[in-house]
Amino acid sequence: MATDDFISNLPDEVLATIISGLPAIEAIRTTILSKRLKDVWRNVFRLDFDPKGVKKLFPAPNQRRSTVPVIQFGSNVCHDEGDDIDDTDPREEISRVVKNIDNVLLSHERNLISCRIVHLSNSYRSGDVEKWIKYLTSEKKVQELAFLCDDFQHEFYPVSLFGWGLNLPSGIFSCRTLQSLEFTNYDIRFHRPFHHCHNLKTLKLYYCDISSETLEAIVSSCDFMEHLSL
Amino acid sequence: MSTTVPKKITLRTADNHEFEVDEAVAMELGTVKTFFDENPDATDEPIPLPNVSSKCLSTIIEYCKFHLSLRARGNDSSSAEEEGKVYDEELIKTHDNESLVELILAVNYLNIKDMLDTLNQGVADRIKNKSVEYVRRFFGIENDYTPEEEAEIRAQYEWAFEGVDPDDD
Repeated sequence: MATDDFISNLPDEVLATIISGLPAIEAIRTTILSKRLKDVWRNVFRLDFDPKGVKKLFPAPNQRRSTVPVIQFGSNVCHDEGDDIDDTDPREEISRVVKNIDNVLLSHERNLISCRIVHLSNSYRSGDVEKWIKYLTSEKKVQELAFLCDDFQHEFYPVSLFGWGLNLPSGIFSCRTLQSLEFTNYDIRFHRPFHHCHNLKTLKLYYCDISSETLEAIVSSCDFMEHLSL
Repeated sequence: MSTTVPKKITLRTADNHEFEVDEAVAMELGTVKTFFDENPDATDEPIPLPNVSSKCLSTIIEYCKFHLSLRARGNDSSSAEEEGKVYDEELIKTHDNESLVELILAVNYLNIKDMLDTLNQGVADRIKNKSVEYVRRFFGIENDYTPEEEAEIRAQYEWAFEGVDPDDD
């Protein structure tokens, strides 16, 4: 199966494109393959901070309940030895990736076309989400941004305690390069962040709580929107 | 310029097969297009493609023809997009690891961006969720790190290696 001179024939640019198709955590892992591969990941054009398997945890809403794992507070979920990640605590997986996002972004060397971040609601409250958005739009000239907020807390806390909305500074998404935004599992109560979005062509809001007034206000702020998915 | 460029263009592969293709198809190959842009007076001699086998070139020509015809339809873009996707998936499926790699090298040499993106994502999907050893075998990579260097990198990116079974494939 192995083609001996595959790597030596492929330019870094092509290798970086291949690695761009991997989740960020796997892209970084390619550093261990060989010296040639050591720094190639720093030139990927896409970073998808999705801990292995989280996509699987967000299937269609009608199946969602059954996949929510039982979380024991203060300890790990018990899992059968040697089994795959479906049995590990996804919140822990997410925290582990999220904790390293800043370092990864700083080590990464070129502009990003696309970035997707899966996080827990505490990243939102701590201001990390806002910081990432600012960094990605200003330093990385990102074109497509996607955020997925893990909502397992809904299962344990009354919604009133979960009463934060997407409360970000006015016009935070108005950077010229940003063309596509996606939010999953957000409570979107404010339209302020979408002010002056003359740049945005695509907005996707999945499993989001949003009133029709807020949505209307957002749409009217985004003059050049071409696609809106809810 | 278009009057000096022949309508049909002949391409000659590494294994000495000649392919006669429509100009529009040949222009999908970035390398060939650049050649004609830089040599507008080129004769209709066959263009040698020393890095491309006839097997790869016939796949590439089929791909270019198909995507050209999709683009020509233009107005019903959503069904064309769907058909394009199905075609691309089939293209990946019908190639084993080795021939996929060979095709990437050819497409990279010929500079066909869309096709390269499709193939690269196909490779990424195949090494997704695989162990380091599996990926090394896949690419034919020799581990040239000393055990100390390897340990150092694993320590540096500890979080990314946590919970990865090194023997899994």
